Amino acid sequence: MKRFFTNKILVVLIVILLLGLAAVSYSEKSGANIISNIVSIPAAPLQKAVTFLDEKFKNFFGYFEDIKATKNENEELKKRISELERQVLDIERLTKENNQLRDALNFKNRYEEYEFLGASIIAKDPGNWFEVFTIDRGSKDGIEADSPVITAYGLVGRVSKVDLLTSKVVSIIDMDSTVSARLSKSRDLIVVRGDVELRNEGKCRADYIPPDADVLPGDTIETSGIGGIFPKGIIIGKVVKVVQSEGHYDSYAIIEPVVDFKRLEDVIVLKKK
Amino acid sequence: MKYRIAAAILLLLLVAVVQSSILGYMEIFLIRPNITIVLMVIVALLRKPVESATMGLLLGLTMDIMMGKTLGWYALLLFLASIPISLINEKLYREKVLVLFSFAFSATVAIETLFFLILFLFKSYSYFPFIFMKVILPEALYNSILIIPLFWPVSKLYALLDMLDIRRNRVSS
Repeated sequence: MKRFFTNKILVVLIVILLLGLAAVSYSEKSGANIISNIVSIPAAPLQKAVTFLDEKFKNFFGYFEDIKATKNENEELKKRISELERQVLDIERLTKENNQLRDALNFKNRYEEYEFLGASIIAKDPGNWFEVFTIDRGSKDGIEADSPVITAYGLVGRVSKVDLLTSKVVSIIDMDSTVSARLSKSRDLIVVRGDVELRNEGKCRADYIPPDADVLPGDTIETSGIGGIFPKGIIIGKVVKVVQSEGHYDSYAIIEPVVDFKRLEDVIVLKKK
Repeated sequence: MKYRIAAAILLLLLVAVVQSSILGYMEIFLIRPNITIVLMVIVALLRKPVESATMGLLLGLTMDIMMGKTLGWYALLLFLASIPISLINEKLYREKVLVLFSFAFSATVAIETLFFLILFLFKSYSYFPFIFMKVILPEALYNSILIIPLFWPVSKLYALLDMLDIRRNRVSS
């Protein structure tokens, strides 16, 4: 009988401890998250090894498919070369012109306060709930929580937790993600957030669209710079559908991000200088 | 005991890597199985409550850490779920496929449903039918199938650990 009650008390104590841990670690910047180093440090090299093997495997089988495709591509590329040579001349002229205009406007580079840090994705979300992935850069590389994460195409998300060797990145299609954004065409402010139903399709939604805003499929959405996490002007995606509702601010738009989250392998972390 | 601890650490590390990397290649309709739940059920079916609950807690904590969100929810759910299973395991035909299937299925449904309720506590529960049909049920089915090939190697590992303990006790006495 005594043992029965001792065990029961122990179970209740552990439950209270775990609830306490959940409460303490709720904040992304909580010190309790240091516990995650216990798993993430030894797991990181193994996760890197799995990613490396996957790449080698894909490269090996891709080689045979590539030979056939290369022949066709070669023909097309020859045609493109002559076209591009002409375009290069145009670009040289435009670059010169652009630099002159920048100087004239005293235009500051919008990312000059950031350092670009390349990172590889070594693990995706282990469950079926979130769109969080692990990158091979951590606090030893100077990464901080809330650092914006991008690719050459546009916005990926932000760093949510930083361990010694790795970091967790919450993508913009995660249901806990919200990004202050702007319609590139009309400059109206909106909020882009992850959606439980849309995330499987790699899409997200735009809420708080002003009733008088002219939103059409194909419109580009970019970060607004409000909120202090993401710099202004990073492309998020394009509107694919506008869902109209009767209520004021009830309409929302379905967004197709410019980043293909299913095939994402490498990212760039914007590190504050 | 030290073999048991070493085996548990290796198992947890293996789970962390497999769950976050390798199972990504085994997704069916964008659903991946949850081997932390599968292993918790296997351990709870094989071992006594204290060992099962400890492993449940550690497996859950590993899952929480790998997810990178709030720590403790999976640890709590797996810890609590392992206790009732381990309390009745001796009355069951543990090797029977139907027993393994039904325990993995019901444990996954219970744990993931509770996880959803916690996750959406201050949000809306309107997504529940969608989540239940598209995430929880397929995952439960996937876990129930995965438990069948995993049960044998894990039970062999525990049999080996028991044998090492007996041999060690015999030598020391």
